[in-house]
Amino acid sequence: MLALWTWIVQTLFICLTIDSVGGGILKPCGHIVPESPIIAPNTTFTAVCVLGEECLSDPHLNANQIFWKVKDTYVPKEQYTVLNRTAASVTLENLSSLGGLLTCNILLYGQIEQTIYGIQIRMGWAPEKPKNLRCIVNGQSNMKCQWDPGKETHLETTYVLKSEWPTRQLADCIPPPNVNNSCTVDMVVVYVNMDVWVVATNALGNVSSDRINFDPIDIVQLLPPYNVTVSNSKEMSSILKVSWANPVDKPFEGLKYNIRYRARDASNWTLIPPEDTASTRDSFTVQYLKPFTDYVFSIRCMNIEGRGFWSNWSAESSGVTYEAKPSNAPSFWYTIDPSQGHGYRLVHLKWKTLPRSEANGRILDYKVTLRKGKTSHLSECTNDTKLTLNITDDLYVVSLTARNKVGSSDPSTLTVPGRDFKAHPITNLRAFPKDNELWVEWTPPNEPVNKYVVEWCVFSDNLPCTPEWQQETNTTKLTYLRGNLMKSKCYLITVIPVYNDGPGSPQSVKAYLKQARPSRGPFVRTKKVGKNEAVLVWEHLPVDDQNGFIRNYTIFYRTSSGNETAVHVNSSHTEYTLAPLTSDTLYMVRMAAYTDEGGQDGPEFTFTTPKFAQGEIEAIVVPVCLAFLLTTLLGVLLCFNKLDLIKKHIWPNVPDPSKSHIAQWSPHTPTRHNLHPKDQMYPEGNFTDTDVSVVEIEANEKKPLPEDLKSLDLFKKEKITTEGHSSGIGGSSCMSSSRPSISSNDESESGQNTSSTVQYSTVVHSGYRHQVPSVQVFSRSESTQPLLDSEERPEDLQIIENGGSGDGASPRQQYFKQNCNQDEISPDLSHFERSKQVSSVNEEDFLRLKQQQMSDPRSQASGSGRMKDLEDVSAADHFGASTEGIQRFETIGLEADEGMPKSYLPQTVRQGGYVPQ
Amino acid sequence: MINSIVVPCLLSLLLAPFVLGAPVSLADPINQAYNLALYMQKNTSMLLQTYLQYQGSPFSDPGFSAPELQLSSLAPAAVPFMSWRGLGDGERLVQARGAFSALAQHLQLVSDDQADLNPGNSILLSQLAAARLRAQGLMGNMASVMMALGVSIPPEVDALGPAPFGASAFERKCRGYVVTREYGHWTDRAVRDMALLKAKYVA
Repeated sequence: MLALWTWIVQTLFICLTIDSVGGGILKPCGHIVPESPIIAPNTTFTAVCVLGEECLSDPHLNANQIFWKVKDTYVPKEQYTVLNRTAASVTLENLSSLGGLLTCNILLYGQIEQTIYGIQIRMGWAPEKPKNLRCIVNGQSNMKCQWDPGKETHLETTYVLKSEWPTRQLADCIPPPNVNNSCTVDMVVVYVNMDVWVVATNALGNVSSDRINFDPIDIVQLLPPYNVTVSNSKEMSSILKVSWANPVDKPFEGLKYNIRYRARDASNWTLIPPEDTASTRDSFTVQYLKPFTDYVFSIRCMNIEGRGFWSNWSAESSGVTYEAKPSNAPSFWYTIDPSQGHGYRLVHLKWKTLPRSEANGRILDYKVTLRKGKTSHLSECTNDTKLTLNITDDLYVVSLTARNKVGSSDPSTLTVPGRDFKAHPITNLRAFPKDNELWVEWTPPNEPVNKYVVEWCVFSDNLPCTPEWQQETNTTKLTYLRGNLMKSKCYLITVIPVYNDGPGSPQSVKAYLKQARPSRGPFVRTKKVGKNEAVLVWEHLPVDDQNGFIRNYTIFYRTSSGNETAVHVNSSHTEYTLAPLTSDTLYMVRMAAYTDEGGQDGPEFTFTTPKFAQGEIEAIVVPVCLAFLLTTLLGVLLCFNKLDLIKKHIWPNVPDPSKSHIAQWSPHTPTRHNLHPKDQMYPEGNFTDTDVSVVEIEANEKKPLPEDLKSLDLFKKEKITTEGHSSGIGGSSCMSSSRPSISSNDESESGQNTSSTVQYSTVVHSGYRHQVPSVQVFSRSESTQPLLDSEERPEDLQIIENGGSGDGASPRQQYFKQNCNQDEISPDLSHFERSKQVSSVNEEDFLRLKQQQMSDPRSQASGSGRMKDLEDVSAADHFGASTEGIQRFETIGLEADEGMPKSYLPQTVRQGGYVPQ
Repeated sequence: MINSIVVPCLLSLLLAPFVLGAPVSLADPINQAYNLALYMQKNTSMLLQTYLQYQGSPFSDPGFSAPELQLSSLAPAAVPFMSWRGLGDGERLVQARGAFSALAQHLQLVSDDQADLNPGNSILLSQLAAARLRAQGLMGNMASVMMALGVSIPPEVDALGPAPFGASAFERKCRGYVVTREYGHWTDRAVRDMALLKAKYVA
């Protein structure tokens, strides 16, 4: 690097020189002192530029015109000092940047810059004092020393490890290239004190470390022993012999050792007491080891006098101790399958393989001995760890031994009691997790216990309980489950005390190694939804989903817009009533189940509260109906009570013409007045409302031939006796205006009802009692209603019915037509029909009508002999004449045509006041 | 010669009470010198064996021995026991130190010879170098003991004198043989010297 910079500077200088020459103005001249400075940062540096004679040949040039530049930056003139005509200096202070090109320049003719000379300033630090010098002798004479060189100097710095004896300077140790913190001395002489120190040197100075003085024998670190081997002894299963080779290259003979060992699967080393290995040797027998166990050894050594350092540990070597007979009997337990009948039962014996530390070798087989009473019943060897025996219900004693190459274990004995054996259980059983284990604690029974058996299994709805088990000594009150337990699983733990004469009653407890949040939340739903409350029900989570003990539930419910409300519910509940709720509202409810580790939400359930509570509608409807019924009843009762009044209003009394005095006092008066049959419908002055009544009698379309009339009439006379009820209706139909029916079914109807059906009236009126009739023309037909039976004598009117009977056709007859005020707006059609009908009417019918009219003295509204109470009608008649002119004309015309009285007319009246002629 | 022996002897007698007054500072250098001599002793036979091994016949022949060969520049270590035993501590040390000084110089000469005769034989050369360095170390230890004993340390002398550059290869091999042999002898003697001092001054 340095060489490179030097080359650059020289090249630059040469270029500048050439440039000057090329300019033809100035030959290279002058130089800077010092030539290649190396300075420490933050120090003051002074350089002097000396002009040569070549420059000074120009009389205009002198040292005053010198100026300095660092790289491309001008140095302020204040830092210049003109020493004399040929030399000027510059003082640079606090140079902090590392390196820089300093040039001495001159201004030619006051404006042309000319570089005279340049130097490269190099910056760096003086070396720091090396610290922490320490040395180690490896083997006999090879010594390595290390030190801390301090901070980087940025300069070429050499480090030399120097050493000397009191009487002699020793050869320097020079580190290899690029190493500045250690050096290895090839040959040192032990047992001679020596001083060692480090000298660091660079362009800015040199510095020595503190000296250290030592005898190299005191800093020796040997290589570790090698070829370590381990061998066992068939005679003793508790010893192993470790052999090794000592390091050769050492300045002393006496060694001491450290021997350490561990079981292969253990991590902690055991160190053999150092005093046992404090002498030079190449083997050692380690005692008190476990049988059939793999041990690992390693060794280190050092000067027996304790001078120097321990070597590194040797490579590990291992060996297995020889087998010994099993030191323990296997854990032994049984289950009984009582399903065998007939005094026999199956005993499933099971035992655990001995752990390696107790097996002390490879177990060859197990020997099971079954005794009943004092005689050995059975003896069986097996490699398996279970055996099933079919035994009687008697008491048995089973013993088990494990055997390896060296011998058999002590027997493990169990008593299988007879049926119905009962013994005390343990008490206060509880289980709890601690330190990632599941611990079980109990209180022993008062009776002496041989041992305890702890069984456990995963408690699940889906899987059957397949118990694992372990055996505990009779002093155990607290143990943990030695198995591969899973988190968030429910374990059912059972503890059984085993007595001399059999096992006691089992006691169980449930526990979790580590609880978790439930896998899912409960499915909540409504059992009943009321207006202001809802009964929620849910089922307990299956144990597989619980993942812990469910401590409580929380019900969250909210409306679609409202805030969520949470309710905490005890974990034992499966039902809860939410109240108060708002009626007719959609609620969303979900439920979370909580274990100790947190909760899990179930699905959301939605329900809507009804608008009315159950029975509320009934509570409203029933009284309303009842009230309605009551009202109706009352109304009906009232109607019955006030029947007369109602009758008076609705069905005005129709005077009985038979009781008319007129009939009596003027029976023979040949009246040709148009008697209005219904004049007496308005007896109480209501008559004024009805303007005019016109009675038309229409003949049946099938007019009987005149020749037949007599016979027909005769026939009708007979019929009238039966049809008499309906004839009177005409008088009571003042409220309804019948109009002639021309429907085609008249024939059939009349055919069928030759005797009972009468189509009889068309009433034209102009409202009754200021009522506006919706239909001006009513058709009333075929009514058999015996209305107004009491007031009217239909027989009296039936005289005009005769035309409808006889040949089966029912003659349609309009008995009367009331012309009301509204007739003006009556459709013309009706008038036309009427006129047609009228024109086609049988003359006889009219005659009959006239007779009838004449026979009713009170209906002679238009007659000359009208009664005083009918004057109003007459007035009304006149009033309506302008509007009913046509009808009236027709009627009058007919009357005129058929004016002559018929001889047979009175015959039609039988019950009336007419006396036959 | 007698004078040179008598003077240190007298000195040692004169200085004895003074030395006895500071026994503590004496034990360490004596022990160190003894241990070094002992350590050197374990290697001397190997050095001689190695040297002979590389010199060829007859040196490398089994059982080669030439006790009659001597170097005038190198005092033999062999000395009558009583003479040795009768020496004062200072004189014994002076003799031994002088001998090892001469040995160190001769070992340098032998190294140079062997570098010439057996170039690249690093085993022999490093052993010769180690022997020379140890000899120098022992000199230093002895000087420390001498200082502790108050014995004046005579300056090192040039034992070799004018360099015998014209020696033949055989002569040089013989010279080397004598040097390595005497190195062993003097080391043995030094061990006994130091043992004597140790027994005397180190409890």
